Amino acid sequence: MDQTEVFSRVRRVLEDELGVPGDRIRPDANLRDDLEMDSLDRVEFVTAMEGELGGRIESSQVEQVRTIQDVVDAVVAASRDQRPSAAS
Amino acid sequence: MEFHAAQFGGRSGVRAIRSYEAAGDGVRIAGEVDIPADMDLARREALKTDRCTRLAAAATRQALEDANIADVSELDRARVGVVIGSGVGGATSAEQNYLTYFREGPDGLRARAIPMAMINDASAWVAINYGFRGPCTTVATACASGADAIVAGYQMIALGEADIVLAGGTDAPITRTIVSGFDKLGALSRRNDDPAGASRPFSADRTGFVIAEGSAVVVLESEKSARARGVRAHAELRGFGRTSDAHHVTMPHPDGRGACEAMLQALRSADAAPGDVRMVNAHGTSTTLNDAIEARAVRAALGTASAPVTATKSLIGHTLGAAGAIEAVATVQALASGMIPPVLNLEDVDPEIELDLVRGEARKMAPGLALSNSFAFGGHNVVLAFAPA
Repeated sequence: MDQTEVFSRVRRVLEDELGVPGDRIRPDANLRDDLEMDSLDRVEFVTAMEGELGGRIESSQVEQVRTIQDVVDAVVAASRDQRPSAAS
Repeated sequence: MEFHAAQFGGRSGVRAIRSYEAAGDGVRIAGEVDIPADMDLARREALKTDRCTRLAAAATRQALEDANIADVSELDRARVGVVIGSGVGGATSAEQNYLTYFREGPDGLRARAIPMAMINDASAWVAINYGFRGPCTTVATACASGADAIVAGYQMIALGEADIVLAGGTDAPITRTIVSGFDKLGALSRRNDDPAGASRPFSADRTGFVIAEGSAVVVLESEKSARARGVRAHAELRGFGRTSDAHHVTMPHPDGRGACEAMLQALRSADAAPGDVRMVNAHGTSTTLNDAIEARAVRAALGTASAPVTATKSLIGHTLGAAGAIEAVATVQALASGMIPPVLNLEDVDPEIELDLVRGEARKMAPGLALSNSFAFGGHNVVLAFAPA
């Protein structure tokens, strides 16, 4: 998955499942300060992304996440790691 | 005021269930609320709040507006308490949690699985969102919760814990397991083809109660606090009576002794006599047993002094833990307007019920005391006594 596709899926989850207004969803938006997400919102976000991506996201992958771009980067990196080596 | 008008217009709030697909179920009707958009939570907040709390949030907003509290920061919020009772709490969320767990395992659960389902969530939500830092609690005495919460709020003020208390009840029990569970008890009317006519307290052909969702919150305030704010109360909570049947988990005591004693206690605490009672808002569920025994209890408590009896549940069904608070509001509105709304669907009174039921037309009410009865599974009896302010 490339950055554009991941961002659009992150946007869909934030808008549709967490009800975050679309105009606030920008790559540089800080989850805590700009989107006012508390610790429960972060866990709900991760659970919703797992549903969206069809896999488990390890907490170590999201601990350092601050912005939406960080989320996108983490998901892109994870999808790269999971790709079978024969196909790369 | 829409609620007040609906009572006098005989407008029922019961309809075919829309909360879930009920086709094929024994009970397919309920009292459901369409929360007006201007009173509802924003979508983001609503997605993380159970319907039970959403209803209480809407009721709280109305209560604050009605009490002329436009800006809560003008209150000494350390002196404001909250007590919102509920019968089943966040039932929609609880049901969803179990479904998710058993289908997907623990990873499927959302982070808010527990807070959305907990029974104190409505009280907590109100305290958190308005910054009310006084005592905040809940009571869970099934169908008496709303009335019990008002007593609890009164006590907070009387004991000096708070100057103002947001007190009431809320329930959102229109879920498959809750509705089916009550149906299994044989408590619910299956008059599915006639939703508006299904809740018929004291009628000869009543067949059970209609389950409903709803919430009511009132602003209780000490006289001193109301005077300082320059507001006039709708009514005074003059007294209350509380007893337990100590008999059976779902059946009322056959003599109605607990209910009768609660009414007598309410009169004593209001320093009043049976002859002072100008209206009784009955618990009046529309079940065979409740209405017959309540009628006996009212007669035993009031003796030869007869008072007009009405029953809010004929219009909106039985909102469980919200009922006592909603009926307290209806009682206060009757006191304030001097008019008692009629019992809906009461064409043919059960001949065993010897009460002065308000039928057909609204009736003028003489100034005096108004009782609001709430009786519950578990044998809890709570009677509130209101007087003109």
